[in-house]
Amino acid sequence: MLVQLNAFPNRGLNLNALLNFSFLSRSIGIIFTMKKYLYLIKINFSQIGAYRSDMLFGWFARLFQLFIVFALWSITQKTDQEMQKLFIYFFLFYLIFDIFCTGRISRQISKDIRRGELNSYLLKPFNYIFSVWVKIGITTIARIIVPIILFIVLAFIRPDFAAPASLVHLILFFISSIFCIILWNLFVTIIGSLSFWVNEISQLQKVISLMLSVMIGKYIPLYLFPKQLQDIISLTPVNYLGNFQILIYQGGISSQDISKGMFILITWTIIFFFIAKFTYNKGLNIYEASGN
Amino acid sequence: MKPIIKVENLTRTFKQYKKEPGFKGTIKSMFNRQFFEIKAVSDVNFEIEEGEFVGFIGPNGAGKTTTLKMLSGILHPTSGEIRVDGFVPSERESNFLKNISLVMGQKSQLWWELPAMEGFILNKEIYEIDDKFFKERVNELAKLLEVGDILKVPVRKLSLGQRMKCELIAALIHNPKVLFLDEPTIGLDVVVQKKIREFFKQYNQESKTTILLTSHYMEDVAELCKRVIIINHGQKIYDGSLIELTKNYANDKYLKLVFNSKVAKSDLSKYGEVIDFEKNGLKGTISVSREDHTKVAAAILQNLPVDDLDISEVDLEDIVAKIFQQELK
Amino acid sequence: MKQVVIKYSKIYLIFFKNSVAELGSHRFNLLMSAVGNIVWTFSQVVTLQFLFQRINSFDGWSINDMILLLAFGQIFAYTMFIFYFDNHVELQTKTVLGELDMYLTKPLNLKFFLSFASVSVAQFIPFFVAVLPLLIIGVRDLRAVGLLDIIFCITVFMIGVIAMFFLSLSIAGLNFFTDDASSVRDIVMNSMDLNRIPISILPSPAQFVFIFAIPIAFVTYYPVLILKSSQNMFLIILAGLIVLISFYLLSKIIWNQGLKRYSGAG
Repeated sequence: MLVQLNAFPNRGLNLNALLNFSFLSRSIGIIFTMKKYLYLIKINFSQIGAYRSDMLFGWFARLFQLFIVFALWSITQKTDQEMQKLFIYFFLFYLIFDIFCTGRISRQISKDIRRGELNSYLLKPFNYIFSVWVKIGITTIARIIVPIILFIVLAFIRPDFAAPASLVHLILFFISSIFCIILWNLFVTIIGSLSFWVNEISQLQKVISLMLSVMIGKYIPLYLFPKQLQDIISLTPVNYLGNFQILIYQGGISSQDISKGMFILITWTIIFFFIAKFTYNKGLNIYEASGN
Repeated sequence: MKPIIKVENLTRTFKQYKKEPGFKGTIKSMFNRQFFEIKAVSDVNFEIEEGEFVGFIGPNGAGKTTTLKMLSGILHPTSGEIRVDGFVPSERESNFLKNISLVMGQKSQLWWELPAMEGFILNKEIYEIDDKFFKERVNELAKLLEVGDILKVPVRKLSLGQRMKCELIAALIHNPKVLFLDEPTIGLDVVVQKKIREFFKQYNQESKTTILLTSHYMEDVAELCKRVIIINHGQKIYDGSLIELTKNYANDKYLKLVFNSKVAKSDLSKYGEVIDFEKNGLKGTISVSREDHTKVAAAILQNLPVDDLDISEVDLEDIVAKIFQQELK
Repeated sequence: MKQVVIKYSKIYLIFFKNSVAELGSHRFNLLMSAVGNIVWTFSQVVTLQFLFQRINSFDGWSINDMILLLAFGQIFAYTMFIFYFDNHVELQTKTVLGELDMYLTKPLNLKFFLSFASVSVAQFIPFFVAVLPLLIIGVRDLRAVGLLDIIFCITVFMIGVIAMFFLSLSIAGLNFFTDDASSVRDIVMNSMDLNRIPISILPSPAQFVFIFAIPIAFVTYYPVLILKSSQNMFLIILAGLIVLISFYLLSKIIWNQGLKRYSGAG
C-alpha cells in the first residue's frame, strides 16, 4: 500500500498548523490535540486490568535476580554499611530502573513496522511514537506500583540505609531518574526504528541490551570499577542509566559532580531526542516509498 | 444405513466476564470479575449418514464452528453426547483422529517458510501412511486441484487460492472418512471458489467421504449440499433437504425479465413484488407466488415488450435471511 | 512400543530437517542471537574475574569451579533453548489466541507436537563457541574424577533437565486458565541467573525453593558438587526423582484440566 503522507511524525500538530492564524485559535488547537492524547492515555489506562498478573508477580521475577546478584557481590563487602549500600544499589537497579528501562518500546515499534500495522497509525493525525510510549508507559505503571510501595515501606522501616540522603537529594534523584527513563527509551526507540531497514531486530536488541546491562553496572556495581575507568564512563551516557541516580540517592556524590552530571545527562537526552527523531523520519521515508 | 455422526442434546456454554467502562470499571474488574455464561450451542440433535454432504448454515456466532469443533474433538461438550464413527471425539483416540480431518479457511497447518510438500511429508508420518499410497495420493489430489507445479514453492510465496488448495491436500492425504470444512472458501476469488466447489463435489461422489460444511457463501451450500442444517443462537431451527427448504420457505418464484423497450416500474409492480429493477427500464425481477407463476408469466409476455424471460427459484441466501427474520419475530 | 518409537523418531527428524531449512530466512537474527549469547557468557566470565580480584575463594569455590558452574548452567540453558523453549513461549500465545485447533485434530501426542515442532538449530553456534570453552576451563581445579562420578553427574543433570522441561510445560499449560502467565515464566527464567553462584550461600528457605520448586539446583549446583567432592549419590538421585515425578504429574494434571477448558477462538 502506498501511503502518501508527509514524513513528520508529529502529525498531531498538523491540526495546529491549520488553526495557526491567531494566538487564541492556536491555544484551542493545542487543547484539541492534547485532548485526543489524553483520551489515548485514558483508553490505555482502562486496559490496565489485563495486566493483573504482571502487576502482582512481574516484580517477583526481578526479586530473584536481585537476591542472586546481591548474594554474589555481598561476599566482597566487609562492613554492614557497605552491604546495605550494595543492597540499595541493586534494589534500585533491579526493581525500579529495570522496570522502566526495557526493550518493550523497540519490540513494539519493530512489530508494528514488520506487520504493517504502522499503516493504520499513519492514516490518522496521530503521533505514532507518542502512542507507543503511552501504551508501554501505562503497562509500566502497572508493573512498578508494588516495587515502589515495597521501597517506600523499606525506607520507613530502615531509614538508616534505605532513606535518601536528604530531601534535596530525593528531588534531584527524581528529576535525574525521569531523564534517565527518557534517555533509555529514546535509545530503544532508535533501535526499534532500525526495523525500517533490517527486517528482524529482536536479537540485535537483545545483544545491545545485554552489553548495556554490563556497562551500566547491573552486574558489576560501577563504583567498584577502577577510578580511571569510572571517570571515562562518567562522560558516556551509560553512567546516567541508573548509576548516577543511585549515587545521588545515597548521597555519595558532591554537589559539584551532581550539577556537572545533570548537565551531561540533559545534553545526552537532547542529543538522543534528535537522533531518534531523525532515525524515525528517515525510516518513515523509506517505508512510505516502498509501501510495505 | 447406520449414521456415522450422531449428536444428542449437544450443549456448550462459554464463560465470559464483563467490564464496565471507565476507571471505576477497571478497578472493579480487577478485583471482582462478574462472569456470565453464553450458550453457544444449545440442545442440538442430528444424525448424519455415511457419504452425506451436509451444509451447516447460520449467521455469525450461531454456533456452527463450535459444533464443528466439538465434532472434531477440539472442544469438550458441556453436556450431551457425540459419536463420530463410533468414537467419542473429545477422547481424541488415535484411531478416531486418523479417520477425520478439519479444514479451516482462516487457519493453516502448513509451514510458512517451507514448501507445502514438507508439510505433507510430516502428515505422512503423523498419520502413518505408507510411501506408495502417499505418492499416489499426493499426485492424484494435486492433479484434481491443478497444483502439481507449486508443491515445492515455499508456502508464503503462494497466492491465497493456491495455499488453500495445498491445505486441502494436507487435510485429505490420509483419506479421512469424515471431513469437516469450516469456511473453506473464505476470502477466495470467485474463480477459485468455483474450482474448489467442483473439487469437493467430485471428491464426495468418488470417495464417499462424509462431509460437513459451514460457509458464509450460500452458493457453496446450494451447489454442494443436498441436506442443510440451520442453526441460530445455538439452536437447530431447520434440518432437511435443500429442496424441501426451498419449497417450504420460498412460496414464491422469481421472474427475471429483459425488455425490448423501456418499461415503468409501476407497470411491473402490478404483477408482483419488484425485487430488482434497473433504472433504464430494460431489466427487472419480480417475485410471484409458486402456484400462479405460469399464469403471471403468460400475462407479462402478452402485455409487456419482453425480450427474455427466466423463471428461477428464490436464492438460498434470501430464504435463509427470511427464516432468521421470522425467528426474530 | 517399538513402532511408536520409530514413528516419533521419524517425526522428530522431520521437525529437525524443517527447522534447518527455515534457517535461511532468519540469517540476521541468527547471527545476532549467536553474538548475543557469546557476549553474555563473556560478560559473566568477566564479572567472575572482577569478583575474584577482591576475594580468593567464594564459599570454598575457586574461580574455575565457578566457571564450571556457569558452564553447566549454560549447557542446560542451551538444551532448553535448542529443543523446547521457543515452542513453549509460542504455545502460550497460541493457547490464548485459540490456535491449538489444528494440533488437536492430529493423531499425535499433543504435548510432544507442541513442545518440539521447531528446533532452534541456530543456538548450536553459541553452544559450541561459548559454552564448551567454559567447560574446558572449568574442570582445571577439579580433583581426579572417576568414571562413576561422571556417570552420576550426568544422571543428576539429566534428571534436572527433564524436571525443568515438565516445569516449563506446566507453565505453558497455565495459559488455559489465565490470559497472562508470562510473569510465571519470567520467575523461572530469572532464577536461571543462579547458575552463577553455588546455592549453598543462600539462606535455607531459598535453597529449598531452588531444589524443589524451581529445581535449577539439579542442573547446576549438584552436578558440579558431585565433580568437586564425593557426595551421597542415593540421596541426590532420590530427591531428583521425586522432583521429576512431581513435575511430570503436575504437567499432566494442568494439561488434562486445561484442555477441558480450552475453548478455541471460534
